[in-house]
Amino acid sequence: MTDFKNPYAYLVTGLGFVFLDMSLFGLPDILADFLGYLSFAIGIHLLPSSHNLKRWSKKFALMLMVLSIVVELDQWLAYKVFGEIGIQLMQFLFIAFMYYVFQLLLHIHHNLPLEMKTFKTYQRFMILMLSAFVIQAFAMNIDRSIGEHLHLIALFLQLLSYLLFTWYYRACHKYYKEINTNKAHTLQ
Amino acid sequence: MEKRQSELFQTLKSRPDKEPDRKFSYQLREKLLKKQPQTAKRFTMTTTVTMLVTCVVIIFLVIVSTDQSLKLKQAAQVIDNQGHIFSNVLCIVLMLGVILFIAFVYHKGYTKGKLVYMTFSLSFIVWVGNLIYAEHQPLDDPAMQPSHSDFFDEAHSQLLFLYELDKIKDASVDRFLIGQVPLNEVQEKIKRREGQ
Repeated sequence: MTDFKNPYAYLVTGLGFVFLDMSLFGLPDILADFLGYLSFAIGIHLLPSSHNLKRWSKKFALMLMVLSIVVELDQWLAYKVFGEIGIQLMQFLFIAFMYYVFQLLLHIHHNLPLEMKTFKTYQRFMILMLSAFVIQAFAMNIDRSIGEHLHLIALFLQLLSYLLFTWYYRACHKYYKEINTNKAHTLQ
Repeated sequence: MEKRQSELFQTLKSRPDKEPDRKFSYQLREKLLKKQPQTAKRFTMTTTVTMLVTCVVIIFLVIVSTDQSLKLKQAAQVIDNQGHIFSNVLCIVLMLGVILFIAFVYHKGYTKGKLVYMTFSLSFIVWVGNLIYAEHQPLDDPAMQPSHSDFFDEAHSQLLFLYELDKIKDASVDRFLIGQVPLNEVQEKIKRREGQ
């Protein structure tokens, strides 16, 4: 049964929506980015914390949601006013947002193995995402033949970071289930 | 004495989450904590980098919005084919340097502070720098430029078309007004109409 109060499920869904681009049969992206940011905002709202980071990251998610609507509308209507700049700026803002999300996750996890897992995922995720961003930035000014390879490498790094977060989600989900079953036992 | 105190403080710092062991009395611990000089710098690294990034963003926005050039073209003309290879190598070296710096900072496990902030600002500066460079590179296909916009392109071509149309109209009106149309043509037209 789907648990609609599991914050981690919302986070991983949000990441999926932001990362994956499914434009089938000439239709616009089904997994729209703004839905992903909305999912992130819900997930952050459900996380058990009253820290300032939670408030900040929720606001950040909502801000990104509005920005992504503008950028995606621009793509869908084929105006392309922002060109590639809009997409790349959104990518950078997304990395900064994920940094805050990880800070929040590091703050709320008191369970040691999970905290360790969060920390390791944070380290790898940030390295992969920032490296991919830097590679894409430099690929603009390198010869087209090398640039295409660099783009592929950047995409691969982004895919890896997505898989890494999905893997991390499994650990979080297990932890969340354990907490819930313990709560149910104590209630009985 | 001071050396001894600094040694004790270093030991204390290395175990901040634990209770003081036998070496430390509570009073000594308090004293050591109080004695640490509070260095308040007027301009920190964070402030400097923030100002730099803000300046770069403002300059970039001004360049993009007003379509100004940075006179980088003259510098680009000097670069010939060998220079092109050199710029490629330079780009790759710079890219590897930035990636290594990012990997170092996060591998060390920093979660906040100057270095983490620097990874973000450096990535952003690199991106903006590359955009400016790509914008001013002489490319055969302008659609390859990062700020190329189909919307503006289309609007521009429509405006150009309207401008050309106006010019043709004006020219034809001028021809009649100035009297450049030969009289024979007019007479022939009148004859044809009368004949019909």
